Amino acid sequence: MYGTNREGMARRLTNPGVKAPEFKAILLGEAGVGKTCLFRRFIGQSFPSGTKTTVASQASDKKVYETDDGDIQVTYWDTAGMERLASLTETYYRNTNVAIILFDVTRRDTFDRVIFWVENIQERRHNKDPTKDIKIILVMNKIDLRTSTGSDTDFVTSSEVMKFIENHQNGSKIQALYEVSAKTMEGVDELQSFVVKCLSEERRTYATMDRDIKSLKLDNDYRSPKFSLKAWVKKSCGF
Amino acid sequence: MDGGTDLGRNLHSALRAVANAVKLDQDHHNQDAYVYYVQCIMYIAQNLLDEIKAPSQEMTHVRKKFVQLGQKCMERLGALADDVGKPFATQGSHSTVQSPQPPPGVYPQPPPGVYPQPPPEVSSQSGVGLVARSVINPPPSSAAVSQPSAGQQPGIASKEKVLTPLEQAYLENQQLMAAYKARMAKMKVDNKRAALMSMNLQRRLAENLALAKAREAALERKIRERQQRHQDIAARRFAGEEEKQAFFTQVLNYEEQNKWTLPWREKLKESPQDASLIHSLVRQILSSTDHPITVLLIKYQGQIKLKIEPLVLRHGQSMVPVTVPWPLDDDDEEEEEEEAQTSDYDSLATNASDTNTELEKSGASESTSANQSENSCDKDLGDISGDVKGNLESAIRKGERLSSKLKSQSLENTNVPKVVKKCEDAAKDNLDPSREKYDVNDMDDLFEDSDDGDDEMPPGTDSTASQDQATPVMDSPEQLTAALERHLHNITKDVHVCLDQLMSLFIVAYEELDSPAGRDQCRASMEEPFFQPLWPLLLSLFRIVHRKKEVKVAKAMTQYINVSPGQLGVASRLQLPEEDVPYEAAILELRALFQHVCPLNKLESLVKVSKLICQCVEESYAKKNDQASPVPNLGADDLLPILSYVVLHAGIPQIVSEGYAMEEFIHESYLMGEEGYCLTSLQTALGYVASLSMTPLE
Repeated sequence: MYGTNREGMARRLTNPGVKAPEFKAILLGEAGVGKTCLFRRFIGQSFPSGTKTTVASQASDKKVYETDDGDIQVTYWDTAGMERLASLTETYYRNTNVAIILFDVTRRDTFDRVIFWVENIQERRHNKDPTKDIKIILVMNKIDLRTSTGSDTDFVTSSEVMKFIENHQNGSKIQALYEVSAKTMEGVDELQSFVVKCLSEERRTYATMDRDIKSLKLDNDYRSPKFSLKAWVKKSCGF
Repeated sequence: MDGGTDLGRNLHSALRAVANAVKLDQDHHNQDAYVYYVQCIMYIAQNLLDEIKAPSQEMTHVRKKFVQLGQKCMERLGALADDVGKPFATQGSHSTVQSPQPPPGVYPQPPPGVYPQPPPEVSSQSGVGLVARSVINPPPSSAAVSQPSAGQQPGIASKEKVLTPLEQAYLENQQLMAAYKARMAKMKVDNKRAALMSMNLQRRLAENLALAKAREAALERKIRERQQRHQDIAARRFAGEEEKQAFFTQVLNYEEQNKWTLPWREKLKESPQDASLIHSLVRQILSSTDHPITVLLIKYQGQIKLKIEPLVLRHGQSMVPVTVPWPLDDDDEEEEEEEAQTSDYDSLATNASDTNTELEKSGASESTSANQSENSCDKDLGDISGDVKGNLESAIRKGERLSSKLKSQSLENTNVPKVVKKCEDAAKDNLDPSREKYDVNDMDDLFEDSDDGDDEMPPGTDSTASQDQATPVMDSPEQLTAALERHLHNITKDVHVCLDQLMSLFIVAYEELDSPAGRDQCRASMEEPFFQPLWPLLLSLFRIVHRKKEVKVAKAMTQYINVSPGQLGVASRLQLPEEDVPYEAAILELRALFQHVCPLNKLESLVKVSKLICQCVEESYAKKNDQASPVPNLGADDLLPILSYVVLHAGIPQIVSEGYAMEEFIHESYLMGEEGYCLTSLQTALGYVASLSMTPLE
């Protein structure tokens, strides 16, 4: 039945009690840098290893964080990083509050691609939707590999990235740089805390949908016509 | 005459009647007592009148007694007169509804003087009979009152053929008049008695009307009370929101008339979170024809239709529907298609070269050579209209061929006669030099006017009329596309305003719905009734606007109809080579998406496509039953190539417009979640597929 189908959908959209403000964070980066793994970490799933019996179907999910100011609900979206598809990721940006751009410290080419997304977001802000800033967080993933294989000159270093940020800070909103390992969970919690912190700031200017709906005005046409008994009596009784 | 004994007997009756009245008076039945007194006085007066017509000495004392009795009654009347007005207003339905019928036995005998013939017994019966129908015993009118007192409005009462007190009184008076006339005819001679009867009748008639008016007043007061009550309820709930108050009052008034709504209200109160209950309620209301919300829904739908139809007619008719297979080899095809997209019959008529391109393409070149090189301005009007007509006819022939070829795309099939007429009109308009040429932007303004929440947009007047007359000359395809996009944007906005409005009205009508879950469910349930009649039109407009991309996608679909997952960059572990058609379930589901008429159902179908993709992987690995190859995890990097593959194999270019339409009409809250993610993925995949037509796979 239609009704029961909808029930599931309605439930997904609604938290019991007070509705936490919704925010959206997307994960960007070249294919293979660990977006999907980090995504699963964010929403509380285990790192994919060994045998699995079911395919995790969701590439988007929400998580509610408790903060001092109340709950914050963050919807994380995984995206495709293949170069041919990446140029089309703009559709993913809609309503996005935070973009987490990942690269693999062991693969310099993935770091080189970071500039693409930074500029992409920057462009969007200037041209299309100046009211909605997307905050950018840069993430160096797979740092466990960096430590386990010793110091290799080919690894992307933090200072390099900091320099990159300085160069591109103009006009973009790179908020922070985090070094994480989705595999070992190193830095993942700190990264999440920072995401929540960014969104808490955003919330202060966030108008809830409820208010919009409540402020809707009724159609003027639908004002009830004033009922005149006198006129009616005159018409129907001939008095 | 033995009037003397009669008079004595009548005095006795009068005394009894007055005694009864006094008793009522003592018991504080002011209203009834008052009426009794009046009736007594009338009775007394009647007797006095009779007596004086045949005065006799013996009867003087009786006359005096009558007069005294009458005075007493008048005294009491004077005392009661002040209170008596009030009981009508304050004692509620009881006293007003109850007829002032005296207990049986009060008027056991009619005044013999009035009806001396036939013999007393018979005369008494017939006399009472005459009176009974008018004042003393008015059961029909009390029935008429009791019905409205159950909570009806006067408007409804009349609609349901329940007579109002006044109408009832009219009827009764008519009956009285008829009886009077009949009696008069029988009596013929006796003028005196005729005069008496006439007086009697007049009295009854007046009484009848007075009572009816009193009841009417009581009824009016009741209606006012009820409306006041509704208003109070509305005021309490929507303090300061007058419009909502008015609407809520309207809904309550509707519910008074349509009792089926009442159980719903109770059920909803009991379980306000019951999604299926909310769903059924919304559907029930929207399937009625005259609920205030439904009335508004239908009005909105009509307005939106009126905005879209002219656009679809103008711009969609000349287009070849985009389908698979789509010709790939012809490089001009795309350009011509763009031409077809942006030109319409009106511009065909004005721009000779455009016309010719169009006609050559259609293969109907026989009529074009004559005017190809000539400027239309040099020709006289008759020639031009002849040419134009010829051109149009061949274009229509082309349209007919196409429509017969593409019957499956029923929406796109042109209504040929309509087009002929329209084109001829347009051509005539265009050739009339006095007629002002309209600019696209002017048309746009017309639309935007109706956009500012001003619902008084007169459908089918200004905007549509001037559109029909307008013969915009499109300088560039871009301009037209931009204009169409603006129209689309405005119409989309209208749809949203309407949906929001309707939902807020539901919340006004049922405050229980004012929860996040209630709103979600309400909106979801509203969608199908709302979009059912509109979706085909809306989609046609979207298809016109997004035609270019549809063509690209159609080309890619034609070219890669047999593409394998591997060719599209699907990781080898997810290519499922064991399957005959990998991901077939997902492909079938995507094809089924078009059967749904409302965006939410389509979206649901889309989510299912994603889930089926995962399910296909799962099932395929389960078949292998190979512990060595674990079921892979799917991320966005995997999902998108697979989705592109599924889109290509589904082979329906219309999905482009469906996707855009879904994005526009789905509520924002859905776009944030999994549903929105699936839609975004689809759009990304479509972008990828479209890009394949430009830069093929290696």
